[in-house]
Amino acid sequence: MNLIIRNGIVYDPQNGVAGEKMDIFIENGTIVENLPKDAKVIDASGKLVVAGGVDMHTHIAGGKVNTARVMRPEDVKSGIRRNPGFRAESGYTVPNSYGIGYRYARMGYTTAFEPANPPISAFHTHEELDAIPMIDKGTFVLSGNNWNVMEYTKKGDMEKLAAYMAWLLNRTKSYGIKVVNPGGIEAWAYGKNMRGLDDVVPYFEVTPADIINSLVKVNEELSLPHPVHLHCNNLGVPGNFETTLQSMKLVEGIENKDRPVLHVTHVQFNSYAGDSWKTFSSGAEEIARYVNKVDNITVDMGQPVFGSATTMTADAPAQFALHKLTKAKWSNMDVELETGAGILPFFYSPKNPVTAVQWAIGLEIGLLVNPGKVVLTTDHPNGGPFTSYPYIAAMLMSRKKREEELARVHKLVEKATSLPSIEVELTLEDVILMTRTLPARLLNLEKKGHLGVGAEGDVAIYDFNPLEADPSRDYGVVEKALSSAEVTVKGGEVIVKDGNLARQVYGKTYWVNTYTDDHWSLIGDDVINLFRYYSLEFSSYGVEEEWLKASHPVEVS
Amino acid sequence: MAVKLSLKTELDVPVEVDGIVPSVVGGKTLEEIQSLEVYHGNRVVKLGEIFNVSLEEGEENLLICEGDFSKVKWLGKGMDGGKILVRGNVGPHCGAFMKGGEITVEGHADDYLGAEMVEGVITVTGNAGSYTGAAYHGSMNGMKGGKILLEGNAGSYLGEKMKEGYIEVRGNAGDFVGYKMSGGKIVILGDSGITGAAMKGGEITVKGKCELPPSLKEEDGKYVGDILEGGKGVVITG
Amino acid sequence: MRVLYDMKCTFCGNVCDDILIQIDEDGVSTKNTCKLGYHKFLDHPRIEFPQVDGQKVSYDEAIETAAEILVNSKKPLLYGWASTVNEAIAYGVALAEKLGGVYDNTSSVCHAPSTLATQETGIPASTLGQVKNRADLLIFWGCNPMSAHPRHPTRYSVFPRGFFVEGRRKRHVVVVDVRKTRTANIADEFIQIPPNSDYHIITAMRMILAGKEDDLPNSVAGVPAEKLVSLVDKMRNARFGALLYGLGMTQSRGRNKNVENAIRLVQELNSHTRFVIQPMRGHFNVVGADQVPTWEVGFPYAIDFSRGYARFSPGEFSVTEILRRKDCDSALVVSSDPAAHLPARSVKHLADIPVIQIDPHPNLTTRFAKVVIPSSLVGIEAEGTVYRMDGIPMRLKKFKESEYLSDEEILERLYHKVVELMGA
Ligand SMILES: [Zn+2]
Repeated sequence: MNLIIRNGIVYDPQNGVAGEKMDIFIENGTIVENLPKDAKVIDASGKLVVAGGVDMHTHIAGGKVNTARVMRPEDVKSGIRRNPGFRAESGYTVPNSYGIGYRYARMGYTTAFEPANPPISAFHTHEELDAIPMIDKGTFVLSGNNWNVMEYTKKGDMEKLAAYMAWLLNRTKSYGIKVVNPGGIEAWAYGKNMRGLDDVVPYFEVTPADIINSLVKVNEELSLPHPVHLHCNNLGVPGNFETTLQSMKLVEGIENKDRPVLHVTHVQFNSYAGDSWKTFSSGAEEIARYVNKVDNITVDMGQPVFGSATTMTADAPAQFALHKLTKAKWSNMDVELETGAGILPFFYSPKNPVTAVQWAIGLEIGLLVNPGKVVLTTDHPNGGPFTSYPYIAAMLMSRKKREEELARVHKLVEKATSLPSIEVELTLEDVILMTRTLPARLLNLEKKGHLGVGAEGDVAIYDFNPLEADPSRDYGVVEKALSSAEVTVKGGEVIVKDGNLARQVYGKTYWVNTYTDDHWSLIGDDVINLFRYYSLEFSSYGVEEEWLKASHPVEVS
Repeated sequence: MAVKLSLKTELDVPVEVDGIVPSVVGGKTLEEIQSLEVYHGNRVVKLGEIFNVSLEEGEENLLICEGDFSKVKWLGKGMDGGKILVRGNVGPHCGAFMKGGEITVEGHADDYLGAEMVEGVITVTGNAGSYTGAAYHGSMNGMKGGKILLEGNAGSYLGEKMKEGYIEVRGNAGDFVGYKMSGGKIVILGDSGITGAAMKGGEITVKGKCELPPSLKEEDGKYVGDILEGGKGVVITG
Repeated sequence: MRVLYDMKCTFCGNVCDDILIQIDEDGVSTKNTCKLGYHKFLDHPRIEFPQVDGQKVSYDEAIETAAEILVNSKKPLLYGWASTVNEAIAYGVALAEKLGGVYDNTSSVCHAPSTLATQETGIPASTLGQVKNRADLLIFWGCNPMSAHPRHPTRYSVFPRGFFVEGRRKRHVVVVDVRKTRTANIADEFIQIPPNSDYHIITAMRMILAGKEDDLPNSVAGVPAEKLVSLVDKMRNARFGALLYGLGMTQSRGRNKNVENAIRLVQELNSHTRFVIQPMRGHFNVVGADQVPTWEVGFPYAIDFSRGYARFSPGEFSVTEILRRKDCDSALVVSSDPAAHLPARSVKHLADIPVIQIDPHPNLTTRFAKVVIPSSLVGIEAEGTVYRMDGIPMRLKKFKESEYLSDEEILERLYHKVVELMGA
C-alpha cells in the first residue's frame, strides 16, 4: 500500500530537517523519493510530522512483568479500555500486552525493546513480546552474573567469552548484552551484594570491573549493533554516582566509530550523592559533565514521574533493600546460574523529600547531558509508565512548566539539586532526537528513527503546529498533542487514526545472529558441562527461530 | 413516590444492577426507569426487560426490591443517599462502595456486603456471606465508615482491612474477623473463628467464644496486637 | 526402532525433560519416568470421533454446534486449561473475551490461594536449579512430592548433587504435615501438626524469628514451642533455605492466609539469610494456565468478561463458585474433568447446561457433554509450550502422528467460528 503524508511540518534530526514543510512518501512500507499522485493521501497541513518513536529501555515482557501483574491487581484494575473491534486493555504501570502495544501506538511510538531477558526463560520473554501488537520489538540478554561469563572472565579467555556470547544471543534470540549489577546478583544468592567495582564475587573471584571490561571487549570483538547496556552497581544507594563514574571510566580509550561502547541505563537511579538518606543529594552534574566530555558513552534518563510505579529489575539485592526500606509487598526470583529479579510497587510523591529529589535528578540528567547522548526513558515502569513521556518532554522544553511543578515539590529539591537554577530549555528538535534519532542510532537500526529515503514507513503525526506553538510557553498544548498521535503509521499502514486504533498489526522481533559453528567448537564442552547444574536439559534451553511470530535476525559483519 | 422492582421470571445467569440506586431512579418516570440499562450476563438489557417496575405511594428515594434477589449483584453499589429495601435475599456486592443512605435486607445477603463502603447503614435480618465490610483483592482498605448490622451470621473475612465504621453481628462470624483491620469497631454477639489476626488497630468485641492467634498479647484482660505488625488493635472477649 | 532422548513428561509440574522414548512395533516404551509419568505414555481409551448429542459428526459440525452454543450463552464458562499448551490457552482467553464469558483454570481448586497471597505480599521464589545448587535446608510443608511429584526430590531438591551443596548428606530435610507421608520417610525430621493449625503455627514461627518467643505459650496448637524454636533456628542458620508447600497449606483452614503468613515468614528470613518459598504446582501446565491470561488480560484465573474487559473475582467466577451459584448457562471444558474433581453441588449444574468438551480421553465430564471434540495428546501428538512449576518455559515436541486435531487447532477454529457468528 502506498501513502503520501502531505504538507506536514517535519522534524528529522538525522537528516537535518527542522520544521520544514514537506511531503513524506511511503511505498510498500518504505520511505521513498516520490510517488504517483494516485496514492492514498493524509493531509498533515500545519501538523508535526516525525518518525515513529523508539523506546530502547522499557520493561514490557517476561516473567517479572507478569509477576508484577499478578501481584498488583489494584494496578491491573485501572486503565481499563474496551476498544471495540480490538482487545481490551488494562493496567496503569503494568498494562496487559495489548495495552502496551496500543498505548505505544497511540503515543506515536513504533518500536520498543525489553532490556532484561533471563536466558533460561527467554521463551517466556518472547511469548509476551509476541503478544504485544502494533510495534517492533527486541530484547537484551542478562549476562553480568552468568556463570560462564564469570568463568571466562576469570580465565581472561576473551575468545571463548565472545563465542559464548554469540551463542547466548542466538539461543535467547536477543539483540544485545545487558549487564545488571555485575556480580551483585550472584552474591545475592547467598545474601550479599557488590558495593564497589573491586569487590570480589564469592567463589567466582572476579570483580564487577572485570565483568564490565570483558563484556565491553567482547561486544566490540563481535561488532554487536548495540553497546553494552549497563545497569551499574549500587543502584538506588546514596553516593552511588561515584560507582557510576568509575564504571564509565572503565571504557576510557575504547572507541567504536559507529556507536558508543557503553550505554549506562536509567542513570538517574545511579546519580546520587550524599552518604545516607539524610544527606541524600544529586550527583547529576558530575555524571553529566563526564558524559558530555567523552564520545563513547550514552545514557538514558530513567525519569521518575509522580504517582504509582512498579519497580522491577534483575537487581534483586537492590530490590530487597528497597523492600526493607518501604515495607511494600515484594517478589523475588533467583534464576539459577544466570541472574535474578526483584519486584515491588513504589510511589513517587512530590511531598516526599527522597522521591522529589529523584524526580529532580532525572530532569537534571535530561537537561544537562547533551541531547545527542541521553535518551528519554522512565525505565518503564520503574520511574512510572511510558505514557508519561509527553509530560517529561514538556518539562524538558519548558522552564515555566518546571517552575509550576517545582512549586509543589518538597523543599529539599532546592537544596539537594541544581534543577531550580537550570535555565536550559530543550527544543522540539532535541526531544525528537532523544526519542527517535538517538535510540535508533544506539540500536543501530538504520531504518528507524528518521524519515530519509530507505527508512521504514514508521511515522507519527501530532496535532499541533510546531512553527506556531512554542513548547516553552505553550507546553500544555504540546504535551497534550504528543500524548495522543493524530495518526501513527507503522510500516506504511495506518494503525492509529484520529487518536484511535485503526488497525491491529504485529511487528517484528529483532535479534542478532552472529553465531557460527566455530563458536560452538570453542565453548561446546564448557556449556554442556555446566548443564549438570541446571535443572533442565541442554536440549530444553533456548528459543528456536520458528517459534517467533516474526523473527528478524540481524547479521553482523 | 417509591420505586418497586420485582423479577419478571427466575434468573438464569445473574443480573448486575450497579447504577440503579435511589438517587438515579428517584424522580424519574416509569418509562425512564424501565429503560435504564443493566447487565444480564454479557447482554445489556433494559431494566424493564428483567424486572416489573412500578411506582408506589411511599417515601421519595425509596427503592423496594420484592422477592428473591439472590442473583442480583451490585445492588446499591456506591449509592449516595435514599433507601433500598429488599424483601428477600440479595446477591453479592450489595452496598459495596456505598457513600450514604440506608439498605435493609429482609433476608440473607451474599459476599462483599458493604465492601469498601464509606458511609451509610446496612441492616440484614438474615446472614451475610464472606468479605462483609472488607476490601477487594489488592485494595489497601476495606470499610471506611458507616454501619453494618447483621441479625444473623457472617461468613469469613468479616471487616478485612476495615479502617473506620461499625459492624455488629448478632449471630456468629467465621474465620479471620478483622484481618489486617486498622480502625473501626466490630462487635459479635455470638462466637467467631480466628479473630484479630494481622490487626493494626481498631477494636473487636466477641461476646461468645473466639480463637485468637498467638500474636495477640493479653493486657489487662484484653488482647492487643497483632504484635507482629506492631499493631495496636484490641480484642475484647467474653 | 526409534529412540528419542530428552522428551518431556506431561504429568506433573516437574515437566521432567530427560525422558527417553523408544518406539518399535510393540509400541512406545519409556525410560526415566516416574510411575505417574510412565502411566502417561501408555495407551489410554480415546474419544474416537467428534460427537453432538452422542451422534458421530465431523469436526466442522461439532465446532459449529459448539460455537452456536457459546454465542447464544449469556455467561459461558471456559474452564480447564492446565493440561494443554500456552498456544491453546491464548485462544481460550481470546474466546472468553470475545464471548463475554468467564475464564477459569484448575488452579482455582489447588493453588489459587497462593495467587491471593501473592497479591497481598508478593512472593520471594527461585527456579528449581537454585534449590538444587544451594539449598542446605528444605522444608516440605503440606506436600508430599514422593507421591505427587515423584522425581522432585531426586532431580531438584533432596538428593541431587548441586554446585554448592554436594548432595543428600549436606541437606537437612524437614517435613511438616498432618500425617506421616512417604516424603517424611526420606526426611531428617518430621514435625506433625494438627489439621487446620497452619496459620497459628506459622504465626508462632514468625514471632520466634522476631524475638518474641517469650510471648508464646508452651505449646501452639498442640505443638511444643521448643520444637518450633529449634525449627526457626535451623531456618535462620541455613545458608540457603527453601520452603516448598502444597495443598496441605492452601486447601486447609486459613487457605490464602496460611500462604500469606508463610510468605511473610520467608520474607522476614531474608534479613537473616537467604530463603525462598515455592508452591508445588500440580498439573504440568497449570502455571501456563495462570501466566497466559495474565499477560493477555491482566489476571490469572476467575476472570469474567461480561463487561468487555477482565474482572477478577474468585468468589464468583472460579469454577466451584460459578457452578455452585448456577451462574453460567453453558460450559466449555478443555483437558479437564470437573465432574470428577469438583464438589457434587457444583457438578450438579453441569447436568443442567450445555457442555462442550475438548479432550483426548473420555472421562466423567464426557457424560454431561452435548458436544464432544477429541483432541490429540500434547507432548506426544502435538507441540506447544508449557511452564514448569517454577515458571521455566518448556517446549513440548510430538513424536507420533495423530488423526486428531490439536487443542490449539480446535480452539483456533472455534474462535474464528465464533467471530464469524458474532460479526466484528
Ligand atoms: Zn530497566
